[in-house]
Amino acid sequence: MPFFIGFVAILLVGWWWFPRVLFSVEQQPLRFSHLVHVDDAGMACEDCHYLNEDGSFSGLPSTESCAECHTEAMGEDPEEQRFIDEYVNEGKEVPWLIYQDQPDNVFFSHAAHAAQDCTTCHPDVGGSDTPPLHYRNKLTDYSNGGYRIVFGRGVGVDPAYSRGTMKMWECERCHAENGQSNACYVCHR
Amino acid sequence: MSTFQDFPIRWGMVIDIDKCTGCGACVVACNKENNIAPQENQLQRIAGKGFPTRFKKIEWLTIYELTDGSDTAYLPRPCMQCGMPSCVSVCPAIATDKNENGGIVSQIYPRCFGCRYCMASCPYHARVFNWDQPVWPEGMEKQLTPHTSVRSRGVVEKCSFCHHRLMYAKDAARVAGEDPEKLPDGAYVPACGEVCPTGAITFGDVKNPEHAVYELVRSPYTFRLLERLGTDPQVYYMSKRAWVRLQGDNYLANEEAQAGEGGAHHG
Amino acid sequence: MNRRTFLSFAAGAGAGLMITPIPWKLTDDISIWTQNWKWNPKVPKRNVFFAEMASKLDPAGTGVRVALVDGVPVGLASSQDHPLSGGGVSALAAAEVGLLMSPARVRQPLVRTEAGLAPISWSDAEALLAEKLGRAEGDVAMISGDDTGTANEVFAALMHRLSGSFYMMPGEAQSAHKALEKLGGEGHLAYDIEGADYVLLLGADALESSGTAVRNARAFSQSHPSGQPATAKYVYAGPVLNNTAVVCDQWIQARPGAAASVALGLAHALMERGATARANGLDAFRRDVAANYSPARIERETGVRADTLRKLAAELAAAKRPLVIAGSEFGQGAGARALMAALGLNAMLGRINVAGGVKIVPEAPAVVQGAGSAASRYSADLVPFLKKLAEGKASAGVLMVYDANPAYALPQAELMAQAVRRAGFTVSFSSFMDETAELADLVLPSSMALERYDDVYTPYGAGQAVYSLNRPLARPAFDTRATADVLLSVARRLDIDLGYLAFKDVLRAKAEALGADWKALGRGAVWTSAATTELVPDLSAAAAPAPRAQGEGLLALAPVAKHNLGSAKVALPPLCAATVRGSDLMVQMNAKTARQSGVAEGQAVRLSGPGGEMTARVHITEKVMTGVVAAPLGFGHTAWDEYSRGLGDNAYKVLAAADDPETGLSVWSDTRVNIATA
Repeated sequence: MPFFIGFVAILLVGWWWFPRVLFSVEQQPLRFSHLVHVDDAGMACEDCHYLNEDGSFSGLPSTESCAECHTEAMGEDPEEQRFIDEYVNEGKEVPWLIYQDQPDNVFFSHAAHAAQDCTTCHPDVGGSDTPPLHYRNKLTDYSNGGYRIVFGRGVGVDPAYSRGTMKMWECERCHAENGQSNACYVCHR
Repeated sequence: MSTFQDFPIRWGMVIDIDKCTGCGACVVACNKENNIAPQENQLQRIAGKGFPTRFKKIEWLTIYELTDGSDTAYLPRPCMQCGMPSCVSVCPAIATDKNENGGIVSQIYPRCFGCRYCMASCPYHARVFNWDQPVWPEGMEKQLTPHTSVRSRGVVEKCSFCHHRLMYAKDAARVAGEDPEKLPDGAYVPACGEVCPTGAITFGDVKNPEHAVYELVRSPYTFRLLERLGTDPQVYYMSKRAWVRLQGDNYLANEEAQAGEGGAHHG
Repeated sequence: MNRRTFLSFAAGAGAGLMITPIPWKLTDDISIWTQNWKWNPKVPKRNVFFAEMASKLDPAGTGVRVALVDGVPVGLASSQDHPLSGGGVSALAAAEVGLLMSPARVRQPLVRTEAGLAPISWSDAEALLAEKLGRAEGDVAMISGDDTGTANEVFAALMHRLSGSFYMMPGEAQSAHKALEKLGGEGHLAYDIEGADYVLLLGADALESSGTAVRNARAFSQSHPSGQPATAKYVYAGPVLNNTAVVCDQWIQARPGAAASVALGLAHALMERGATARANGLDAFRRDVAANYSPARIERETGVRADTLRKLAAELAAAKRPLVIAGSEFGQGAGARALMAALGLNAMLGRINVAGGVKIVPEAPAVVQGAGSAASRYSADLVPFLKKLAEGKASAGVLMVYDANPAYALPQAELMAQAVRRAGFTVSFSSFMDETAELADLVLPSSMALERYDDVYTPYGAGQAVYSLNRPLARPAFDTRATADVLLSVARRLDIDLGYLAFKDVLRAKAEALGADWKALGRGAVWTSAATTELVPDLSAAAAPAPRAQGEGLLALAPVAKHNLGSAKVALPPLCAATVRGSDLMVQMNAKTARQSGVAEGQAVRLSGPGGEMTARVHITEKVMTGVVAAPLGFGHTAWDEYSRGLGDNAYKVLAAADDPETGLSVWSDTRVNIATA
């Protein structure tokens, strides 16, 4: 019986308590609604997320480009007003949380992966009204891509919703499967 | 000893020693580009006993002064990106490797555990070890470039031919719909070569006849450092002065006359 | 609970642990944690944007492209299109971005209190300065070290209205203005080095510290294609195989400060060959040259052999487009004579206002009332004034210093520091806590070029008229302001109307007056003009006898300026710290000189000259001619930061200026020193 109690207790600790301790939960600094921009405003993904001519990728629009429309509130949403007050008027960039943030020693090229579907790596947030929660591993600072589960890839949840910081083996596997080089400097810097 | 792959592209740097004024612009540009922390107390390092300066100074590109007793020349020395790198074969962690088209010797900092075998094996002293945690003066860490990750204490670092610039050039080619493996001359140049006021540094694919370096490496004035060790460096030097070429390797007295004449070298 | 129960519990927990993520996840995460230490600074991820800027720190006015990430300047790239850079960047310009956060920067206005310098608000500081200026009217002086900016017009106009005096830090630009004035011309001396096929550099360290060095280096590079025969010959005459001489096709050993004599010796040799010139006062020139500059005498005085001189003259005469550039080996103290003599020589070669020759570029139209012409701003000689101030023979109720460090970078540096102390109220507008700022009563930190509106008009030696505009690329990192704006505001407090509310308006007026497109300038475009001013030089004074060497020592002192070690304005920048070689800190001489002086490699010695003493170790190298000791400039700083302070000794201390009443510009390019083991 004590054996069983210990067994169950550690399972509870390991599967319930440990993930809650390991990950911190954060909400994006602004409740940005993709839904409003895509459905109501009729914007395309590429209007904000696009490759620059020099080959770099504009993943997050700057406050300046947001302000092209949002110099003054266009709707009723208090979040929009907060964005204008705190960021546009202050000339500050929004410290967005990135679900796929890679450490400094990784060089990822969006241009090289342009043929891939964005949701291969990113959560499909195009239709979301509220951005997913950001689970940050306290030890590694890696993101778990909007899901609390500890092993990264979702178990029993929508896989597209659980894309976090990709591990090296995942990058390497895809490169190998697609006949791409796995030389160190292809991804590292 | 294992052999290394021969790649279709061979990024090479040709440094014309006769045009180098020793001004140091390349070193300063390199330091900024690659987030090399400025080191205080240079005097103590220089004057200090114990470790020679080169073991303490973090510098990917060092300018050496050569002299034959009367004339002087300056020799900037980046990583040679050897075709047969002695550092790679001794690395127990595969933290350094030569496995990418173009032949640039990689150095992966999180993988390095600082045994420094590579430093011992490198005949060019191109590698440096972080004895200290890199520290920037207050506020200067905000001015880090996005190009190169910061290296911790306890790892070996070295020149990468500004490899990030190769990645940027490839990305620009991809966006422009061109072949990233066929970059035009000048699309990829390391920071040192870009800023050099006297244009002493030329950079390109030595296997591509459309690149300026293709002709330069075939010049009779071109030589490489310690060529006879068989490291097959991808950095080439040029000088019209025989004594400079002679100092590029260790020659026996009876070999000097022949070596001084120079000859086309190509690896 | 007994022991058995506990063990059983622990066994269950142990077994269960294996099927929880704890051991596996933690092992993985710890390994990642050790590979990305959180205390390492993180690099930014955002995209890099580039903006054009003209370096204000580099006297060569090099254009660079500043790399910005989220509005923070992080790096730089070369500017291919800028006429003064052509794709090159000097070590100084390369370090400018890194100086933004230099520990030496002054972070807010400071005022002297009993406890030292203490913070003060900008409005209080301006009020204090206005009060002091108002009270000291007629007894104020300002020193500016900015050789290319329109800001000088604001300063000079304010001094004019306050009946004060305005001084420029001595340098090549002042020598050039004075020389042109003495030969009856006005404007900027420009060298079309790209068009020349034979370049003779007399002293002028043209590829490192003199004139538009980066542009000169590009021209050198173009004419010396790697592995191919050169299309132009570069000859350097000077005492040290410096960064310029080391790549030149020929190095002719000539004693320090010999530029004028060698130029006139060449004129002598050319006259022997029957050369003449389109110039006024030719008879007096011929007479003086014939009397005082025979090749035999040049050999005795400068160390340049008579046959070498004649061979050089023959080469110059044979060259299609020869160009002679003269100056001080370290960019200071040449007085006017070297440039006058070189202009005379260029005139004899028919090289004035022709392709590949010397060009006289017109002055930019003044836009601030009362600022006077550029030549008038350069007319006053600073060193004698500061000497008198130090000795109590002159006074300055208020002494303002902009973009200059006179307490460090002038001959008799210790005396100059004394002068700064003697001034009634010293105001430093330095961006950095330099030696002058440390002595000042009020420090009003200037924003750096990256953070302010400023301009660059035709640096000394540029091949044509060049105008570039700097706009703020980044918000000021600290509580700093552009000095021209501060003084416009102070002028308003004094009820002085200089005609402008903001310095930006002055610059806009300047652009308009030049006929440049303000908007294009703002995008980083550079305005150029090939217009030249007619000059028929009056050579009657060009070969007059020059002042003698300063000091009684046995050795000639050759200060060496290397821009990676800083300049007269800025101490060794942090990013350049790694470029310091051990021998850079040492005084250098060749083996013969060392033998004659009784010193050995590595020995500590004391150099004593007319201005004072310095100590250093000896490095023996054949890069220095016999009878000369070379001393590095840029060391021996007592202010600044941990990167530059306490490194070596200051060679400016040893120098002393000689008066030259005829030209009105003192000279310190020829100094004699004694050496003793310390």
